[in-house]
Amino acid sequence: MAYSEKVIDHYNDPRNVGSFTKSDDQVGTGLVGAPECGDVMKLQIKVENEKIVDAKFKTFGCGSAIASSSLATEWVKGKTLDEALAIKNTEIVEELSLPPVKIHCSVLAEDAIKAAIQDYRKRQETSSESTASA
Amino acid sequence: MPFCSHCQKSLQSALWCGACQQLQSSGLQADYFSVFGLPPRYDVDLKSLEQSYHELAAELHPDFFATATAAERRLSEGLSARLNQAWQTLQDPTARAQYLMEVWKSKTPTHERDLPTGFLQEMFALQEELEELLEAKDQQALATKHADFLQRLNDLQHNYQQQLIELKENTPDTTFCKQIQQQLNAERYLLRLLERCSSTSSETDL
Amino acid sequence: MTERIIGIDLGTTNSLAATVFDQVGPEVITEPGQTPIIPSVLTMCDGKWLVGQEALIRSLQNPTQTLHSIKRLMGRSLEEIPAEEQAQLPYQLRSGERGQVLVCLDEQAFTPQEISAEILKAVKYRAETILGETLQKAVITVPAYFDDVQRQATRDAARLAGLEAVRILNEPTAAAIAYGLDERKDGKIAVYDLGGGTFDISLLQLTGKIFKVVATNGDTRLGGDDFDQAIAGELTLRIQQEFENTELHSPLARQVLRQTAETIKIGLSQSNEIEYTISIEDQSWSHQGSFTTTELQPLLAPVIQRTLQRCQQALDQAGWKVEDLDEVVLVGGSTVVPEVRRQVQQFFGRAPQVAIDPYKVVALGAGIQGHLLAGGRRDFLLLDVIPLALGIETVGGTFSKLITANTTVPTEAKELYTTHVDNQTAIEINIYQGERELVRDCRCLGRFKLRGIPAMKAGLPLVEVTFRVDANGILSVSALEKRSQTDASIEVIPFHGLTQQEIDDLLEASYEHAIEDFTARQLIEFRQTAERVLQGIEMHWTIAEKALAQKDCTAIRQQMEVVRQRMEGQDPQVLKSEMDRLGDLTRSLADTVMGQAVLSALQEQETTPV
Repeated sequence: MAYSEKVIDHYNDPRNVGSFTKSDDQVGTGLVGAPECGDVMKLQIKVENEKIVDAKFKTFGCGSAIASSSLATEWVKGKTLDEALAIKNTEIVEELSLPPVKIHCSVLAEDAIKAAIQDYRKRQETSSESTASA
Repeated sequence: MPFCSHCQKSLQSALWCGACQQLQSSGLQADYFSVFGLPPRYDVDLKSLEQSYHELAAELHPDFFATATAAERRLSEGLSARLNQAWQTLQDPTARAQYLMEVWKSKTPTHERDLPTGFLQEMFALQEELEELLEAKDQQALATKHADFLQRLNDLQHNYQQQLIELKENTPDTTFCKQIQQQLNAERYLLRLLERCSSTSSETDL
Repeated sequence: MTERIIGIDLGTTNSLAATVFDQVGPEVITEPGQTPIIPSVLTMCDGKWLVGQEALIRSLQNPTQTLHSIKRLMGRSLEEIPAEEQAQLPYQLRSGERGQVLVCLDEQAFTPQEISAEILKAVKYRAETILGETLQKAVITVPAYFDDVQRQATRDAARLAGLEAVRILNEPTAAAIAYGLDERKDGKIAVYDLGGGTFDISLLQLTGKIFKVVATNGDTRLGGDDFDQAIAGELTLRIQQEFENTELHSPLARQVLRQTAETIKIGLSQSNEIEYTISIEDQSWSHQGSFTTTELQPLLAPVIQRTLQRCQQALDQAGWKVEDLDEVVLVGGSTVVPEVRRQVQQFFGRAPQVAIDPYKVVALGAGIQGHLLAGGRRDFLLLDVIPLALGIETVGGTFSKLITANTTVPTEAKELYTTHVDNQTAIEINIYQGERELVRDCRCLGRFKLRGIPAMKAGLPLVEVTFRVDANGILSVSALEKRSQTDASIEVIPFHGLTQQEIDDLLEASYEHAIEDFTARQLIEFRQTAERVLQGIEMHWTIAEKALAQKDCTAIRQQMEVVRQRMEGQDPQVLKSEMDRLGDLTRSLADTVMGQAVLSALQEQETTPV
């Protein structure tokens, strides 16, 4: 099962690696981990008018985890928060043809998107106050 | 204790009946503790476990079924695989703890991804720190980090192992399971950090 | 005990068999005063295979038609064999089905399995003749570091030779059995096995009747052949220094250099200096020189160093230190080289154990294991490991391990797969074996296509795939769809090796032309011997009548008639037992009065019924 060019590309040359300033009110940060293997993933979204305009990630983990988060950041860009929430890990599995042993990497990416959106919404609620959780 | 499917006597091992020398096909799904006729408890005497392992291996191994029927040979192969996995798991302190959590999970639901508060943030920060040290090839600082992590890992392992040994009940409550699960999860993140410290190649950023 | 299971050491340079004899114990199978070794060398003569010593003798007359070191090609594809190694072989290789390497001989091409099968046949026939019984089962040894493909290739070779490989046994483990049962001491032992073309290091823990392999490591392309190559390289330099522009690349020249190198290597195992002369037919020059152990040392050192690195890796894998070891055992023909012994001793800090002939110890261990498998004993048990991790490909071409190296076999791993598209009924899995991070550095064992998955929505099917590794270290795969409890059928598309159909075709072809039926051959041989014995007695009958009592003469006459009748029959075993009876009746006669003719004819019958 040869992986598609696109997948290998996500692996060799991950997109959107980096960080935004956490304190920025427009930014939501999701930090998740996979206890199966000790991978940690930070995914950040930049939101304007309920729409994700940019996304960045930093992942310490295996190739599948990096490819999953790279793909996730590509996908969320341009989506509304609700649309982004609808992204399922199985779609990532399919897109990257992840084998069963690596499915948790896609779960991680899905969780990271959700955590980032949740963080962003929490910030909006508490509006001017800066939140303690990252 | 389950019973032999042939002579109905109670079994010392879920895989094999010592009384009538029969392989037990139900053993293919047996839990690792009952493979050795043990209750699901953490404190296992490794010496006697190894002895049981050897004794059972000497009864079940496919080498002793080379002239038997194909069905019996396949069963001996499956049971031997089960036995080898059971031994491999129970003789290892961490794998044994993880396996116990599996056994308890059916009765005591826990959050598999649970971590101590703030732990993940700390791990991410440590990973970032390591990344810088690895890029700078600062071997001395890396060695110090490695020693720190190792100490922390040892403390963690010692702590949960002690808790498991001191456990009185056969099925502990949710709070206890949660505590152990958190530590087992944390252990894997620490192991990951240690792995990165010792790797000097570019593999680290994959 | 049921049917005999012999042990066969199918080596890169030499092959031999052993078995456990009643009362005597484990012994190599050989005729008295003869070597048990059959060189793993073959050639074709009038469309028939010549194997062993005869082929070796002809190798210089016929260098391009002489096949040796075939084991190095087992289970490999042409592209996996480095160009420089191909260049060193006097015979030609080409690529066959699925990239499998083929060896060219005359106008034909053979797989390494077919050629190895011919070696196995030679070993089998000799053993059958000596033992006087048909053999159908064997324990065949392989380097511990052989992967799944190489093991399957060996098993297929056995099948082509009409043998069931009841067990594929690791060579160092076989050696450990021979030593361990000899000594019966608990402890940790290291087996250093340097053969003609492969190197293995195995670490074992002996506890009572359990022989447990804890770690194994090695290199399937490293061995005594490399010593020969290094020496041949030096000889080439010397010749070209003396005679400029000498052409030394012809198959004949390479064969001459290789054999001279081997002679030098063996010679320097016994003395400190050896003289040699090299000349090649059709070339006008002749080169003479001498080689000393001091000159040899730097040539061998790099190869030995590579083996010691592997030893260290195995120790690390086991979590052992050199000091933990109770014994170091040397196995394999190449360990007779003094420099190897010196360096191994230095590395392990102890004198290695060489009590059992390193040429025979593997076959002996295999013979003992065969005895156990046949039900002849159960006083020991071998727990061996899988040498290289098994796993599947994941994103970016990384290798994800399902079963790690040095896991005790038999073992199994289960994985759940599902579908990505609605009504998808098939899933493909690529399985790899190796120790590297990326699948491109591992071997692809094959593609497994799961079919017959019930049509459901994407993600609903739960296909549990079980990867099983048996006691031989050979993988099999099965699958079950858990929701419907239906077995998914598995189509294996091997990336190497022979398919079942190819094996069947080859077997059929070999049955068609060749009287290889053992019974038929044996009957012919026994009839010839009986004819000679009867003639011998007739020739000396006048002496017998004078020397023996009337009733003894009558008994002999009657028995001679029985033998004549049995010669017309079809059962070689019956003929043999009647001949044995005749031998008993005429023994005193032969011993005391009869001429040497009968005596030698009878002796010949007992030892070499050819």
